[in-house]
Amino acid sequence: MYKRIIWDVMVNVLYISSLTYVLFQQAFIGRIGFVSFINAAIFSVMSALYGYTIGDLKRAIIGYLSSVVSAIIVTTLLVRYPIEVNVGNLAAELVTMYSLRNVLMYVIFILTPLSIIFMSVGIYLSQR
Amino acid sequence: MRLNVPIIVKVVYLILSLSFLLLLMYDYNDYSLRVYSIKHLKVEVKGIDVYVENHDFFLNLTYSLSNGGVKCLEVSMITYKTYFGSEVARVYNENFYGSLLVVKPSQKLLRTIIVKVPGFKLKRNLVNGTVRVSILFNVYIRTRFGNTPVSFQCVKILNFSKP
Repeated sequence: MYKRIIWDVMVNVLYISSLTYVLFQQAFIGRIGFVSFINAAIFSVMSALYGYTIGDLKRAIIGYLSSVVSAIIVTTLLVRYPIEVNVGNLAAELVTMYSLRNVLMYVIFILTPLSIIFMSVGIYLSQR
Repeated sequence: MRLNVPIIVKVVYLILSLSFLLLLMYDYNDYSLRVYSIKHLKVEVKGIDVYVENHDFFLNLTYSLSNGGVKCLEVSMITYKTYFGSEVARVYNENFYGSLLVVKPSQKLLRTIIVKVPGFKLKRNLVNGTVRVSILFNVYIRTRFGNTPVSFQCVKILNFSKP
């Protein structure tokens, strides 16, 4: 039981780190371009592997949603912190708004649809 | 020999996600240090001088651009807004889009520019043979957000006798 919980936590933490990397790239780009799609394609492979590793739709969806929320928070903090320390609070607020908008648009319109499809494929393959 | 597919997939997942984690650490480090370097960018004015040549007035400005940070900074444009008193005398741009001006860590670039300024503005801002010259520098640096301006200001009182 504990072993499974530890394994699930580890898998989700690694998934959050991958998602944070993709969102960190996107946070600075105001538009969805070619690089965004390349990142989304790479992350889709990660989602398929995540689905295969978890092997259960309910756990995978809950894990995915919690990972998305955590990754958005971590990305925003990562983008914000150096600006807040080196530049100032006002600049940090502006950067937070800008990066959060970019990240949310990307997650809602690109990443989530692709991830759910590929995660389901991964889960299906794990059940065969 | 039969391959154990679930174990292979788990190992691939671990390797890929750890690679992403390493890339994230590298990217964040780069971003953070670049912001730190921008904070430590300095513009110091070494000398301002106004001279007359063939009835035209010229402003001779010598300044240094130094990077006290740890990452190379790429300058894409510098704008100089010159004021005589509180009146805008001249706005001048230097564009480096073709070949970016790279300022390496601990490097100090000494630059000199000469711009023509309107003589009537200088004359009408003369007070007891002196004119208050202030220059507003906007240094545009290439960052992940695009071209970000960093502003510096310098004020100097110049002695000038009417020609």
